[in-house]
Amino acid sequence: MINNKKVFLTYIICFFLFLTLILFPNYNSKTKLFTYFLKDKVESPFIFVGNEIKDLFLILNLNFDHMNTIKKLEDDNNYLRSINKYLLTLTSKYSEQNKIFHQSSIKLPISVGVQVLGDRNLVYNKNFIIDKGSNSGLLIGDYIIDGLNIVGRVVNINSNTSEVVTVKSINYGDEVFINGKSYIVSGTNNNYLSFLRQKESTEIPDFQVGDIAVVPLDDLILRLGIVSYDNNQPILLTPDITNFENLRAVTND
Amino acid sequence: MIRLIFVAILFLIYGNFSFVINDIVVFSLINISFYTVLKEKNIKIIDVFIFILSTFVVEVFVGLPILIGIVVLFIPLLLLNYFINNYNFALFIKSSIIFLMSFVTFCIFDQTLVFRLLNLQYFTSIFILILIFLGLSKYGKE
Repeated sequence: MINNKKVFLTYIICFFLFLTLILFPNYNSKTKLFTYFLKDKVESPFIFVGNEIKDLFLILNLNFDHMNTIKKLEDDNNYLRSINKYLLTLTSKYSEQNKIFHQSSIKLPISVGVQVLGDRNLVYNKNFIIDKGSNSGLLIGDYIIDGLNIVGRVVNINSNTSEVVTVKSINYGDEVFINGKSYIVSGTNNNYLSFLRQKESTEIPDFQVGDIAVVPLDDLILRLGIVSYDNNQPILLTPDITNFENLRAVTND
Repeated sequence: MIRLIFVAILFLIYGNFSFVINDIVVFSLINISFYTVLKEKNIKIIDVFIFILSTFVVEVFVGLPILIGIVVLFIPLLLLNYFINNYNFALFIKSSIIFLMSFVTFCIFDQTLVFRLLNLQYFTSIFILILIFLGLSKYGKE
């Protein structure tokens, strides 16, 4: 079968290494994050070359096509400019009203842009890896947002990479506020979160379908989901995570 | 060496294309790891390292505990190696065993795959590909 002592020796080393990694899960996740960091560094020249080739092909395109595109874009641009003017008017009104009511302008979270490394389809598990870590000021528990919607939270951190548990994951848990009252919610590996109740609790939830669950940070409010009912049980529907291009990590909580 | 290059390429490809490509990458890595242990009776140290490397990459991508592949799978695979190589199966049967085992392992990772494969379009294309293979293997030389 095997006539090589080295093979068994390697197996034994791997076995003890495995036991060490199981006993100290921190090293396990650090190894994973470091591998993703390495992957990011190794693949970046290939991605650069790929983008350059793509650009070269674009440059080699016929001028005629570009002229047509420019013409079409100009038309679109004029149309969008008119919409933009209308929206600017609305926004300025809203900002002024907000200033009057809250005596301050709209707060935006202090955040850093992050990029997803590796699998972004959440097929095998509901976690993903991002290209920012403790060097960018991230901490465990920081929120990852898309606009003002919560996408997930940082669970493991390395110097240049972090692991994020998404709101869809069963490992996600958070305290949310609905109509001023706090509730604990937990992920379900589906598109909704379930409410956790304390044992023998008789408190009736004080919310209705369509109420928004929020997470207040220092001076800003992040949205987690909308209240709904499934088989007479309250659930929290989360927004669909389909676009991973504009994610940001909130660093001021 | 070819396997090592393949593992490196698959490591870089993962996550940069659609989820179908990701599935193929994981499946190929599982295939490489199984093939490495089952290909011949006497396993060399380089084969063990390729097995560790490919399972490590799968573990990182799929989110399994690191080195669980070598610890859990290595001894059962050695026993299977003993069984396969002592009975001197045809290459076709050997390859089929490796493919089916990889497929079962892959289905354990992503159970929704079974439903996707039962989709009529996938099923028809797989069926046509199998028929082409069988046809070519029987009448290809004529």
